[in-house]
Amino acid sequence: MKKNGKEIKEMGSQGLSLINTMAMTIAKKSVNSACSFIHHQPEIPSEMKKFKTTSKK
Amino acid sequence: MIKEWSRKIVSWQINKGILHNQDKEIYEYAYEVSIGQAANILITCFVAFSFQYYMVFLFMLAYIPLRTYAGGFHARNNERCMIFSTAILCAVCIVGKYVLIQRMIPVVILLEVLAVAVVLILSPVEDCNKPLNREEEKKYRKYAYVITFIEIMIAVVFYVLQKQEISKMIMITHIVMAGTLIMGSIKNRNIRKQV
Repeated sequence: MKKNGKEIKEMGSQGLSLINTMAMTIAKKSVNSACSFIHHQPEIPSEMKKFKTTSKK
Repeated sequence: MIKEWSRKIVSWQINKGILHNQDKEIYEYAYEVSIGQAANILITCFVAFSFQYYMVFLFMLAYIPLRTYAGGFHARNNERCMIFSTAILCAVCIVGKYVLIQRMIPVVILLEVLAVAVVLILSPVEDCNKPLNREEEKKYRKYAYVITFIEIMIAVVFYVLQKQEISKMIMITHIVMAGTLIMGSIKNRNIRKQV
């Protein structure tokens, strides 16, 4: 079945939304741990601190 | 490089109307962390295939949960992080593949005891980019203790079951973890001295 341009565009944006959600899930997990397992810890943006489950410093 | 990629991905999505401009910072952070983790998983696969030593995945399985809550040394940027991670993984493969623990049990047990002591005393070690409050310290220390205890139990069980390769990998994990905790503590002390 051939898909038209609009359908492909919609599928692409849905795929991106899924990737964005996955990235946000990893970031939320990272904020609520001592570190992500990689050896570099990027600075946490202040807006990200709202996802902390413990009280903020 | 990873920071730059995450910026480009987020800017492109903002231009396309998929993300809002006010979420720019958090998504840049999210992509930076995610790409960094994905890169490290790819590096692990590459190292495992290069050395033909797949027990390194077991190392990651034991290392990631402990590292998540115990913290430790962090490189200054993503590039250094990758070099450091690759060096650790190569060292793990070399030790895992070529060192026979059966020939030096007392030394291995002594190293394991020392490594666990370091993990229990020092964890969690925070990073200057992610300072921990009292509540977090307490919580993460507890998690690190529980994970360490579970891993020791698993190592003992597999040692008794004559699956020493698994026990060896868990011990290597604790030794690496102790090393990163000591390095992280020294780094934090030096930063505090400079301030």
